[in-house]
Amino acid sequence: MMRASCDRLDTSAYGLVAITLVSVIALAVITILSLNTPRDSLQTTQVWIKYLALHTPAIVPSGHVLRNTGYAGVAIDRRHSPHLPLMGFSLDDMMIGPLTPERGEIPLKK
Amino acid sequence: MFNTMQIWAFRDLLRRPLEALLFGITLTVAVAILGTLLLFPRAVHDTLNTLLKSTPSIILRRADATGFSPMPVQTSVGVAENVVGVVSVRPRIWGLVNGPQGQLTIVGVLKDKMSKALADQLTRLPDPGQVIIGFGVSTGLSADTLQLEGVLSQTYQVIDRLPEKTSLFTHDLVLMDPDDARQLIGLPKDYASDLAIDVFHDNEQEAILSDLIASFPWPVKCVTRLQSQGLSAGRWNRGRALVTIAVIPAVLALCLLVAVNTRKSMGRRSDLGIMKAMGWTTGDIVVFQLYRELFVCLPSAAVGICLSFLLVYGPGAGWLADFFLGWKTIPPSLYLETTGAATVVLEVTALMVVPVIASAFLPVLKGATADVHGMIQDAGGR
Repeated sequence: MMRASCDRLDTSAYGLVAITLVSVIALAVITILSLNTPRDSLQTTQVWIKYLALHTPAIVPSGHVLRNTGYAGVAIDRRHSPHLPLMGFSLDDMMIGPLTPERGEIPLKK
Repeated sequence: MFNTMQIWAFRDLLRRPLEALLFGITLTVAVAILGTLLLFPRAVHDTLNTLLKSTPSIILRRADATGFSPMPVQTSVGVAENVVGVVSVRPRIWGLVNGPQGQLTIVGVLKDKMSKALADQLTRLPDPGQVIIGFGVSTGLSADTLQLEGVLSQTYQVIDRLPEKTSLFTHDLVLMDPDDARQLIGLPKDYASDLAIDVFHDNEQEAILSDLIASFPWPVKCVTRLQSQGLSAGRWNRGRALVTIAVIPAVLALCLLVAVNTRKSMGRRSDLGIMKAMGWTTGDIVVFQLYRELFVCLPSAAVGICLSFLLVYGPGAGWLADFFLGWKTIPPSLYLETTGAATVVLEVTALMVVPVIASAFLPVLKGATADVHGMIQDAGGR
């Protein structure tokens, strides 16, 4: 009757097979997560963004809310119309209304 | 499947299996922590960039001395539509109100503009007195009703929830009938909070801005999609700077690993001396050492990166948002895309695995020209 091999080289070969399997499984999980997870959720999110005309993501907790007390409760936060530093654009560059000259008047700014 | 040199190298590892196992576990944890710290901001940034492309080209609000004020829908839409370059104009009815656990964003939804794909995801749209809530909206004590407090305090019946996988944008939303929304935020009839304007090409966003602003009879403020993307990128760059600080302990752990591995490898000089005495060439020993290190480092790196992927890209991972973004209530479920992940994986591999493998070659390099007898005698000194 043949006895099981006690040769350490055989054991080593089994060990190598085991760590190869572990590595392959880990790589398979990485591949599956890379290929499957995001596509559906991103597409669904995009459909909702388009329907609701959302402008900024929800994942940054607002915490900082600029309420417009003069206007019966409609509040502005960073979520829909970001009242944030405007990255090189001043408010004056964008607000022309009162500064727009009436016909025949001299403009206040160019 | 494996050649003799590979099997021999693994056998050498098995001489001290616990040591190899502990080293592998340490490397796995270090790679997982570093990988998560590097992957998360990158993933959020890339995902937001993709999603922001679906947002309106321009948001236009009416400004006044106190901040912003409502816009008459018919006049505003008419004026905006007459500006050359504008493709579509949609009035938005929205505002912030107080919910049971903090502020929520309410949105008045128009039933006639819902696409079929979207309608399939909901049982029905809210009628007066009903709401559909986002994943992060807590309803308080009752699961079926939601009390909101704006200009007036009102209780609504919850009829559905928005899909969890849209949390990145809809986490705190409450969808309701437009008239209900107007009443709750004090918006007069036929008025909207602001306008969402679309243009055909991205370049037109900035080009038509001055015409758009000048065409309105009152002061308006515009925020373009490009500005919004810039703000988002800027915010996440600051986030990355904070993550860099958190990376420092990981780099320290790496230094310790390299130091331990170098010391361990130097302790094996006598073994290498015996190999050389038995006829192994320096090249053989280099290959042997390479296999020996790879058999620990590669599985560790693979498992470590796999853990990072599970934490960052795993379906609905929420606690990361809690940890990194500081959510005090229910954290949003994150469904992030893997664009750019390959770069981060390569960075982590280069940063963690290469130095550890390289540290094992020091005794080989020192032993290349050393006296074999001297190398063997090292055993006595240790």
